[in-house]
Amino acid sequence: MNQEGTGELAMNRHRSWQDRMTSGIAIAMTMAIVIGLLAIPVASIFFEAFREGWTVFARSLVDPAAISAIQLTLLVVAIAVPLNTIFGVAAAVALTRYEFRGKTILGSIIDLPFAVSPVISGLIFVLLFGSQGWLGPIVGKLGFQIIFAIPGIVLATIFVTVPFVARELIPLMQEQGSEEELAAISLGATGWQTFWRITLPKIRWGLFYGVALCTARALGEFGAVSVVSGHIRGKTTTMPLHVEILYNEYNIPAAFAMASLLAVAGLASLVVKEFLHHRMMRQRQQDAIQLPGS
Amino acid sequence: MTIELRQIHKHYQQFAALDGIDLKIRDGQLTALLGPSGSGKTTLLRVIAGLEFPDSNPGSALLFDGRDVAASESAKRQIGFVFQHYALFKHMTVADNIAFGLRVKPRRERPSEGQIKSRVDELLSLIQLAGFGNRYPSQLSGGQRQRVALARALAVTPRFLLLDEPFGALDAKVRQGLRTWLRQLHEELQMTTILVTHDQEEALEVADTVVIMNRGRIVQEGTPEEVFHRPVNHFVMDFLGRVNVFRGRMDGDQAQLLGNLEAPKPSHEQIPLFVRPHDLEVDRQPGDSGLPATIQRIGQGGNFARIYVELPDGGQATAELPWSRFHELGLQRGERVYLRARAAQVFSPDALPADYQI
Repeated sequence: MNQEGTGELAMNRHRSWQDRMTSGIAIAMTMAIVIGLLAIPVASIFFEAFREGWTVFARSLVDPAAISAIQLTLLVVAIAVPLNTIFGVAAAVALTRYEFRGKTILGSIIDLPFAVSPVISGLIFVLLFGSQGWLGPIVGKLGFQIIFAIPGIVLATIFVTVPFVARELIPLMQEQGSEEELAAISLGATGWQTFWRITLPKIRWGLFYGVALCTARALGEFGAVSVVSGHIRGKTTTMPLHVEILYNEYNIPAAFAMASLLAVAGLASLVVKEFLHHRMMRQRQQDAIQLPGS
Repeated sequence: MTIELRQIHKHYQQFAALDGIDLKIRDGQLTALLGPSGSGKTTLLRVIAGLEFPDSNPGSALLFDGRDVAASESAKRQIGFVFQHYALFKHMTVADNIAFGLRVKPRRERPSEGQIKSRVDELLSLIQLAGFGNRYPSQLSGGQRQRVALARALAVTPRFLLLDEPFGALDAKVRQGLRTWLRQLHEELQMTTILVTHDQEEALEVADTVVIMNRGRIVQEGTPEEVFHRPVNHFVMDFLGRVNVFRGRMDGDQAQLLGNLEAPKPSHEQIPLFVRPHDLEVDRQPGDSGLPATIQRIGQGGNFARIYVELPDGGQATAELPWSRFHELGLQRGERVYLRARAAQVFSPDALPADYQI
């Protein structure tokens, strides 16, 4: 951080007019994009939501279909985020602490949801569990419905948000190394004790950060969920899907009211994320101080 | 506790990190495993600790007080292990670090919180850090952290202590102080201790027994005096301090220096002579059989003057003179002097690498 600071100062002092022009253009372009494509649209969500006044805003949110969408979204988040947290920690521990066959392949497969389009992620589940799918008939016989029902939405959301926690933890744990864990084991701690008392506290800020990212994505996931949901109003619509339905019905104030809730959630997660990122960097600096020679 | 290793091998793919180690460590002794990096000393320590497992060979055994522990896991071996980079738990206070080994014991064996607290206080004063219990590791100096790591290892009353380059990351002054302190602590506790180091001074000063390793094998084992004054081969001599190699002859007890080892050697009567810098006498007078040399540079060796000389046939040598002797002679750079060996080591040809064969 310090080095970057002095670097900037040095640049300011010795800048020629070309440098100044280049940096001027870069700054102007960034500002234009941030304001034109991010700030104004986000502000307009709130503007549109409240355009017809508070009462319309409030009424559109207490509509049964809206309440059902909010509840469903919270339910999906409540299932997907804890599961992905557990999975992410397990995957990070496995990939950074142990040697096993297929380790590299596992490492790249975790990233798969980042690489494929969410629509395809949704389609995978339709192909698997839909009535024409491979496992569809079996699931149907057992009396379950996955596609066009809540289980499908949960599965699709889990699939899309799998990498967030693991991807945050793997580099962190690689950097931290495992000497403290070895020390704990040499002091007689079991693997379980070592995990809870040493590993988990060491990674906690990175873990919270990953969970925040995962939550934000789970709340707002549209593509994959849209494919598996079936859009049954009041039953299988999550908040993003409900926004789309309202919008297609030209119910603009209600659509924006719901969108403004999602935007608030997004902005809140941004703040939390920044805070956690800051904590993580601070911990990393403290850890660095403890290393010899630095 | 006694520790005995028989025919311990450890391979990483083709590479033999440990190549047939036989070693007995007597009860209450402080043993130093000394060697260059890659010599296998740390691997050996980790095998003893149970952090690495040796290859399973017939005839190999790892015995603690006569019982084979080769298959038992680290936690069962009751060892105190101190890591080079301390490996303190950064998110815990010093007191919690020290108490860790006691708190993770199964409920039946776990002391009460009151007992733990008094044990922690006892250890804090043993490491001269009483009153530091509430600090975090990041608030301590390197030397203090290493003492905390030692206290943490001692808290569980281990059967023996393993120290992996414990002072390697500290600066010279702190290291000196900790060395003396460690030796005093050892006198007090009388606990069997194995210390891994690549610092020959540390090993010679602190240990009762020095085990010198190279390429996964034990090269020599003995008291500091034995290994320093009677090295079994050129490697040990070279590793334990600076050494000059000359072409020469032994006339009874008297070593006669004839020149550089690489220069042409007409007579087969000549052998390589290994001479420590402090055994190399420098004089203005040729006397009988002084080897002529020219002073190239005069360096600071701390408590002595270090004289770099060039031999007439192009070889180099280093002599160490007490400052009093140096001033008495009034030596100057570029001067012609004469070298004589007060003592020299001779090794049988099979203890020498090929480039020293004449």
